[in-house]
Amino acid sequence: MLLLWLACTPTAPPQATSPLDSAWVGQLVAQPQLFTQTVDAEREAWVALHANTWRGAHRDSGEPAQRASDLHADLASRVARLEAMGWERTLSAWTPLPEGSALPFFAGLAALESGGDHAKWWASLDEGADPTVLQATQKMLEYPTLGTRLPDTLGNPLLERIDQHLAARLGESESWPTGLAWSEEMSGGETRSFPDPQLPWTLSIVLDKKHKAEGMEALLFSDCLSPSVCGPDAIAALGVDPALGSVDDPSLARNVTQALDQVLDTWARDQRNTASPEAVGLLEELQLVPKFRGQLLLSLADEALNQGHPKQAVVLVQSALDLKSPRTLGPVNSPTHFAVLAQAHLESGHTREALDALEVLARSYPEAVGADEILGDLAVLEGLDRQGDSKEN
Amino acid sequence: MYPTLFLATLLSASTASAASFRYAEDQAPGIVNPLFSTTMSEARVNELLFDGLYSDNQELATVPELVQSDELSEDGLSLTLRLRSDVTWHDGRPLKAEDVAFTVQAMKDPGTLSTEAGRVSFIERVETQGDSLVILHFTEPQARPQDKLTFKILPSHAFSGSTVSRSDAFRSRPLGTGPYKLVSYNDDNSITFQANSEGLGGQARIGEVVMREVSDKSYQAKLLLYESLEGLVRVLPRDLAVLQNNRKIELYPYQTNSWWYVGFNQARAPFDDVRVRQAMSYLVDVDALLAPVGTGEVLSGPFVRSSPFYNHKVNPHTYDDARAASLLEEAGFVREGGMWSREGEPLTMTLSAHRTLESAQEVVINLQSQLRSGGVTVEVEFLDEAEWKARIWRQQDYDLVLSQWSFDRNEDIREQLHSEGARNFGSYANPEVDALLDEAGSTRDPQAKKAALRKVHALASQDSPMIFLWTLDSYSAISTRVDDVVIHPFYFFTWVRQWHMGS
Repeated sequence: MLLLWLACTPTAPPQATSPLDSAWVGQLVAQPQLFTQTVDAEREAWVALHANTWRGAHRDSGEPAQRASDLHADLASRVARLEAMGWERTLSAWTPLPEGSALPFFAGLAALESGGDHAKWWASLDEGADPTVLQATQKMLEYPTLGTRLPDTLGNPLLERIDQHLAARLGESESWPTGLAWSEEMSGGETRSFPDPQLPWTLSIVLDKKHKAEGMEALLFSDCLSPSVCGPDAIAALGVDPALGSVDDPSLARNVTQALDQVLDTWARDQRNTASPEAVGLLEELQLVPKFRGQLLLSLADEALNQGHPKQAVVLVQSALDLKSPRTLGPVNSPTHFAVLAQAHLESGHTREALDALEVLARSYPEAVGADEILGDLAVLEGLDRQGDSKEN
Repeated sequence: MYPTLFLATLLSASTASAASFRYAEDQAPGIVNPLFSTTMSEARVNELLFDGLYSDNQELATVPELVQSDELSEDGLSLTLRLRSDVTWHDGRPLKAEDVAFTVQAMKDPGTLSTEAGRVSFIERVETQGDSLVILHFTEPQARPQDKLTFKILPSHAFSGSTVSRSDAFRSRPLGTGPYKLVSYNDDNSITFQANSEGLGGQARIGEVVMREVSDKSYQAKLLLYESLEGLVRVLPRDLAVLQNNRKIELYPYQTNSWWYVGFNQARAPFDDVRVRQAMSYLVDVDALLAPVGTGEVLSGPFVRSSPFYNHKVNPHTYDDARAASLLEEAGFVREGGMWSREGEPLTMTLSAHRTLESAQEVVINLQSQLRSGGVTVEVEFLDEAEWKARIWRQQDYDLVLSQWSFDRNEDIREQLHSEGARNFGSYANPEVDALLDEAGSTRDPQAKKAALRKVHALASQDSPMIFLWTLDSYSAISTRVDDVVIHPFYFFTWVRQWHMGS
């Protein structure tokens, strides 16, 4: 769809009456040719950025690819924290842990990555665990830091894998471990597989280009009105109070959403009445207003999570999603939406619902499979004492 | 599609006051009695009328509802409950310990034939002391029995014994302790509920709730847009975008872990032959069937794709007429004149579906067409709720059914696939599946449970007791005139007390 717009002809800009007019979205309406000028050089990368397709972007060096890589790094960081939360909660709820299992080793590693209490888990490792696991644990207790390479991996495959992650993070290696199942053990005749809790952490570091673009290239498709007015600040600049109150009240989040919709709907309607057909087509076919809206609501959801208001975050992300295909990634439904939604559900006690969001993510971003599995374990644990109910229709 | 007069009549029938919450169901509850609830619409009405000993709070933790305090014995074999002293039934009589004992006994009574009997199978017996003390004795030690005690409590004084009949007058005059009382069954197939002034935590903030049966989903959406309803329980995916763009309507995810299926009656030939069932599944183009309903996800087994139990290594059956032909030939069928027959008997079957499910009607007709193209004659019958309960559930008098199962967050498929399951009206029996379901029900290791149920998924796909179709994204649509709405992911109305009508 985006490519169709590359042949647009320029038209005269309408008069500015809203902060949106001077934002990237307003500039594009005023001067559709600006869009063509911006995306012309790196069409494919812009198409990918518009579609929120970030995988593989780190291999390219252009502006849109670097922005996509940064977004992917941010996504990986969110997934990593979610997975660490999953390990902590799951193993805390799982009593007694299976004898001789390596589970505490991986929980400790996830805790070490996230700044949690890794020693607690490593100390709880059963003496009957596999010698490789015991050796790796002992070594990691001696060097509980992930800022430098391990001094010695002792030929231990677990330590070697950790060291490979560290080498990639420090720029000493261009590749990093990608296999999802790091280790396996037999338990009750079944194979227990352990997802690699370090994988998303490594991705969050190696994909982060810390890129700073300028002008339209930096702002196009973003949640910013200007380089310094983004997210909740942008909502405020549009005349909508983004305050979410002191309690986690979902209705306040709905009120903010409704007020924002009023502003955006009015502006979009005005553009449809006054802007050139090319500009209106650009807006509608590329879903620029819903995309911008979705980004703003996502940033507010993040703010809600920071304030400890997960129910509000759920409402905000759900409102942001394009429900034409609510379980599909696309221009409006970014991977970050699903990561934030999963976190918000988890923090509001709805572990099973978090899996709905994670499953969408894990389809396209394998680094989310670990979080999906460990939170799946948590969901199962939470239901162990429950009597399931089922009904027709 | 609908004559203007019909539309005008229905719109004018909305005589509810400003403080009324009117919502649409595809089908009205067939019975209002928690002992016999089999449908989601019944479960939602139960939530309005009745309370449980425990319930979910908004963080989905189990919290006391009718219980004041509890004490689990050290051995985990009994739980002593003290009931709240401030609870009355809708007729003004106080809640008593004997009501709890009656409810459990009625559910367990083989003469009752309660569809919910499995929910109290872990309770060996109930003892009462005075009016407020209940001691539940369990068949085996329980770690958190409270989590299982969320079933609805019924008034013993409304029944004459623990053997309860489906036709008991209670079904038309239900009596609960819940936030709403049933006031009237109305001529237009709606039901009116009035806030219970003596309900737990005070009177619900919305004075009246009206359930209206509207089987046509498109029409439901129109009624909501015309403000003749305040809520739609479940919106079809195809209607989501339109409703999302209406600023007077708020959409709420209502993910009930639901999936559609075509079920075979395996107690009846030729569906007792796995090859025939598999062949039928290969003759169905599920994607094409799904298209009129909207976007959804095709499934390969008895779980939704986001379930921790879904086996992603098992692929959905896809249309493959050659494979179907091979299987039918193995089963002794021959194809003549384009149609399959065995020993001179044509392969014919009847497909049963709910009359009220408008979207199901499209699916049924398309399915009939697909199977006919594959050489199978399919008669179609649409059953009303009473016929459905009698023919499908009780008499098991059917060949194929098209229906949908919804599961709470535990996604416990035991009742559907265990040979002794109360909802296994297709008579599916596989000892390996039984053993895996038993293991899944008893293990304390979440990964072992996942592994067991993923194996069940694979076996169910192979055995094809059903053609697993799809799951749909499920959203409820509620007018922005209704504030503080939080819906329970399964029971919907659990937190209705806090809802209120705004400006």
